[in-house]
Amino acid sequence: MRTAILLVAFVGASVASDDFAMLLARAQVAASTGDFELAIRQLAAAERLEPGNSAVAQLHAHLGGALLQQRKLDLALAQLLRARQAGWEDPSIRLMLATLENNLGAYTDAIRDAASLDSSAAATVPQRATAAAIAGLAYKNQKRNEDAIRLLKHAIELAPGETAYLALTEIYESSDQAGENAKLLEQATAALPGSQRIALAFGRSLVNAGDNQRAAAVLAAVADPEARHWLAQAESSLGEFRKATEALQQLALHAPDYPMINIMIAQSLLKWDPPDYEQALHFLDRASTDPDVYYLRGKIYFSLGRYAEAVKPLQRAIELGPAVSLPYYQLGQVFRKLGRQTEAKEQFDKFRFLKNYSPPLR
Amino acid sequence: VSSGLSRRQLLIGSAGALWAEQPDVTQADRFFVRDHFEEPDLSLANWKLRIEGNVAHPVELGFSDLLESPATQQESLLECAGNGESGTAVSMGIWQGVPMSTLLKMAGADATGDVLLEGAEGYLRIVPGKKCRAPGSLIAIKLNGRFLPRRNGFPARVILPGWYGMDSVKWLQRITVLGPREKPAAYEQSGMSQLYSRLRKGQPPTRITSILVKSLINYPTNEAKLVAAVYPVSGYAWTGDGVIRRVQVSVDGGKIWSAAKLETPVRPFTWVRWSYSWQAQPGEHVLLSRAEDSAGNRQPPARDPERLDSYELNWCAPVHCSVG
Repeated sequence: MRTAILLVAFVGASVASDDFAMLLARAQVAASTGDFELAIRQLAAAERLEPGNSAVAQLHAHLGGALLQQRKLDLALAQLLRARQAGWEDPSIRLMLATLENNLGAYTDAIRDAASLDSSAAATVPQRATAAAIAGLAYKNQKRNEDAIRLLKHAIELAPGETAYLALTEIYESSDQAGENAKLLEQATAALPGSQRIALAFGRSLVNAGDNQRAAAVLAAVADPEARHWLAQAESSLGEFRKATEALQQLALHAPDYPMINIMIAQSLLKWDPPDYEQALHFLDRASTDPDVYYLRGKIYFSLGRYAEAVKPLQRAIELGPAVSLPYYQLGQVFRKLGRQTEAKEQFDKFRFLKNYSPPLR
Repeated sequence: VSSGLSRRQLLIGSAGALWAEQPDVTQADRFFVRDHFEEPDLSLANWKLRIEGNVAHPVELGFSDLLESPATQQESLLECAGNGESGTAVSMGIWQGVPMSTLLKMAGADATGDVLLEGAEGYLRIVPGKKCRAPGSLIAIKLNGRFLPRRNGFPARVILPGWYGMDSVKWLQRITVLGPREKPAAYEQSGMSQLYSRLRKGQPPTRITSILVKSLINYPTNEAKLVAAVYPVSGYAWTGDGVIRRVQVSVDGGKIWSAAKLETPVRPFTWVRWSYSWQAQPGEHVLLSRAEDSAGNRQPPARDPERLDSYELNWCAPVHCSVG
């Protein structure tokens, strides 16, 4: 419907010939009814009759917008490129173009288009801020972090926005700039107090910076299930293992398929004083058949003094991950407790053989 | 769009925006790169592709024309002709673009002529017209659902499935359809006609085209130290013509060979993942894999001593393991 309204505006466009007017009108009608393929063909025919006609350029632009709304990204980009080639310089079109180029992987084009907007007198401040953020994202996608940081900071100076802050925080996290990150997110939280995504990133940065007390307070107020994972880390670092387990159990409740969740809960239960071995075993029963699950199960049986029961899970851990050293050591300990000294020595030898060896990367 | 080919003729199609990551496909930013010249700086706005020469109507296409053309998708592995026997200049991608046959037909190209492909950086290759018109041969604009990375040919490159990578010209800007026995002077003078030839003692050079059958061991890595246990030896196998029929593994330097399990479907132009369960005993071991394709081609145990060039290096590469 919105497309139809937009296109009605073209009925009065100046035209030089009846054929041209007919083609343009057909293109408008086709676009307004959602027949984009026909609209594009009619518009192309009109453009051949009158190259450079501004009504054609404008219709390319609006067709691009309509196709973008329909998630027909390639066709939208084609129309927006045609609009620009035909001289249509509307800042909102340039923004759409830069966004599409960045999303589809044409990063240098996105940077060029976004940069031209930032210096355009026709662009509003929010448009310039968005353009700077897109350029920053495109630089980030190219792994040109210095340029990305410069543009994202510029975007924030123009108008604080979630996208720019989150992109910047990702760069800081990936380059181990924890101090810069915490400062940035403190500023972001003040600028965008309602943003849950900023709050989650802030809490995460506080955990990484070791400020767990503050992290726990921030993360407790975030609804995103991912926040429970980070809250558990903060509580665990504070020695609040029961609270950490509770956070992980909440995470499991909201996201039962969260990777390794049952193993994480089991590990958390083992940190209690005294450890809750039975509950930990219960959660390991629910976990996938990962070598770590068998290793942990073996360790628990060992801790409970149930040495004979520890043998099988540790052997299974070794079977599933024969190049990992620790299960050999643990199995050696189990055999020693069982008085099976020869087998214990064999496992310790294997552990020693592996422990200083890291396989080369390929 | 210049004479002849209009956007009206180019049926509207969408390459589709949805993309799901698949296992056994190389991430675009990890795709191998081999160049002859410096990477050109091209933009979507200014890029043009000309189709000319022995055609009824020369054509100039912009990127929008390709975006609006009927798109197809082609799984295709690319390997550099000079990739070592255990080298990593091989990658597997899912390409999207316009069939070369569609564009050649629209330009009214001579159906028998060979084709000169020209990249914007100055690289040239002459490719038989039959290969260009084969199903699967593309002017690709996307790799794994996104536009080509700049270093892999942005905004458009040729993809010739089953052939070594040197003919899949990157940064494509011109397709010249040649007349019978025509050899453009620029191509001859550039010296590029001499590249990628098979050289044998006392024989004239022959052109390298299809990828030879090959397999690699990914795990364990060479010089690995292991303890006695069961290990999943695994790797990939591929061929240019047909499909992989079987892969065999030897853990004793090639004396005894056992069948590996093919873990993924065998399809033309893609690689297949294979595995073999190895009960490793203490000692020094030399692991080998060898693949055989549906045409009966098998990886050789060693390099042909008659070869004087350094292409088509597909012999069985050893992996040495120490088991404690």
